[in-house]
Amino acid sequence: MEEKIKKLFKEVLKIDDSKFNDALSQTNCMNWDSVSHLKIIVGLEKMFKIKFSVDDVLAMVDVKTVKERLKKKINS
Amino acid sequence: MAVSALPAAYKPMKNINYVGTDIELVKRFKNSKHTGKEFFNKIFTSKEISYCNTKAYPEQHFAARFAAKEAVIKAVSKLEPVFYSDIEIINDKEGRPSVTLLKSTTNLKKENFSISISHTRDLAIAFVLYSKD
Repeated sequence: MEEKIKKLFKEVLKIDDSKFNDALSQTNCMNWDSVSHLKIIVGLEKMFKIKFSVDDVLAMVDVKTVKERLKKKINS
Repeated sequence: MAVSALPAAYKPMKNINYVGTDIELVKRFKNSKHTGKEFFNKIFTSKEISYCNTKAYPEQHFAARFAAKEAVIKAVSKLEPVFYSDIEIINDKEGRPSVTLLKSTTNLKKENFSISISHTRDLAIAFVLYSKD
């Protein structure tokens, strides 16, 4: 799962491996704006065949929270 | 001159105004690996998608509508949360855009929104005013 998420983030945010970690967020990543955010959300939904709630979409502002919400959604 | 001495027409408005604005790069709304059907369906209503797809350069119209939705979200952020799919931006016969909220329960009134959208080949921009009585 980690590798799939990393690949998606790297493609959408145009970042290299070293930049991808749990602390990566909308605040510290210049390319993580609203359009990129929706591309990530849709990418994850397609990849894992899930649907995030609006609450999830608004909460997933960093990689750590993205992983937490994703795991919760997959296991629900 | 004291405000109370002014004719009614000159009295300050009691409305509280909330504004939002946004600017987008048109090229980000072209079909690509991460902007497929699911991406557009997540953000835009079927009416908006149909409208944009009748245009020679749909990406300009999608970008303009996205900027408009962002501007709406920013304008009403202190009042209530709205999501992209809760907002519909439709043009009237004269081409003037208007905001419709599709949420089943909302305290926001359609008639209190004012919106202006513009785009060039590369950029789209929107400005929204929400006037609360």
